[in-house]
Amino acid sequence: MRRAAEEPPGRNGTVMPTTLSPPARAPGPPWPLRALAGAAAAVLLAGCGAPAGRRDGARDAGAAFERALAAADHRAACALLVPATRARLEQDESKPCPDALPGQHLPQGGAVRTTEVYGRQALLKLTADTLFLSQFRGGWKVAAAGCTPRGEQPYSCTVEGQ
Amino acid sequence: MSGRRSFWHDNSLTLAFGTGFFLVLAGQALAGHAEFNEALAVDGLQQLTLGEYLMSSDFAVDVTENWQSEFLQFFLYVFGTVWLLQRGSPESKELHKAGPESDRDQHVGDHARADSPRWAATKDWRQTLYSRSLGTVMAALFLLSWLAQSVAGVAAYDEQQLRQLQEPLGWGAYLGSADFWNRSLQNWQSELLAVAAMAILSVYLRQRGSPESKPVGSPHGATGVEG
Repeated sequence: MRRAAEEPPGRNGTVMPTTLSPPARAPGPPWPLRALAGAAAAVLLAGCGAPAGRRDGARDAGAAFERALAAADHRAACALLVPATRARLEQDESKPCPDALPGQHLPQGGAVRTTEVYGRQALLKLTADTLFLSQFRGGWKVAAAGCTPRGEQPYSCTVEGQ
Repeated sequence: MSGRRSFWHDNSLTLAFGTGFFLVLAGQALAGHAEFNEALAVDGLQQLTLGEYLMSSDFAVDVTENWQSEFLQFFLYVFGTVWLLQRGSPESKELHKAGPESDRDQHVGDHARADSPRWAATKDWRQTLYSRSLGTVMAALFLLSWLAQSVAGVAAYDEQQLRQLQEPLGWGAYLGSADFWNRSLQNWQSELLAVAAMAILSVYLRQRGSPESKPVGSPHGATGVEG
């Protein structure tokens, strides 16, 4: 909001002289301009911060899930599923996860090609499969597997929690 | 009056609103944390601690989308009121003063006073920059906040996309997305409405003692008069 320009009185209530030569010593920028430069640097640094540790964690968990499937170690694979995903699989198949998982015929995903992490969710694209993962206190877990894209629609996944 | 009381007296506007800002920001953090965790619980995902939520893109985008619109409002207001007028409003200067006004009126260069800011007394780029520093800083804070909104916004949006088993967007695609523009425009419209309402309502209404109002007895047609 606009403030009226204040006319400061002189020391004895007299009007101050209206002119002044520029100071001989070059003054530095006012503090708000210096603070702004600092804020700009902070935003740029924050925007450039890549969650390398989280990306590695998601990729390693996806790779471990694929190794467990390849080795037919379904107990280990089930331990890497998000609890809600595991619960839905057990509910749909009416049997424990290690017994239900082989019947899902998940593809052999192969090597991890790309890993995208946003917040605590990740998307892993493998040579022959796509996995969605979510970060928990104990590490990354697989939220959905056997996923195929459907254009603008959500991926269609063989195993998922939703 | 003691020194401490004098400091409060002399700075109460900044101190009160600054304190209010932190209290309300804390309230927003608590409410946002509860809402975010409710959604995670529905999806069967790990809920966040308050500290984790404060570092999340969801909290960042909710904060910065409001910041950018406030700084945009003040940038437009500071620059717009150089030229734009409203007869009868204390938010407008007098009708014959549209424009940047003379060096004498603005106390710059040879017309600077002994107590003028030092850059006002210069005659080079420093005077040019300092003469526009309020609006320029508001514009820069707007752009920084808007940039931060876009960076946090794409992370929050893509996190939601992944929770819904959907493909994430890149930053460039997000800048053209409905989510980014809906967040931006819904804030801008409210800021512009508030400015327009203040400009015209202050012609006819008064707040005794407030410099945002004309004196109670001032006529409706008096322009550039503050209480």
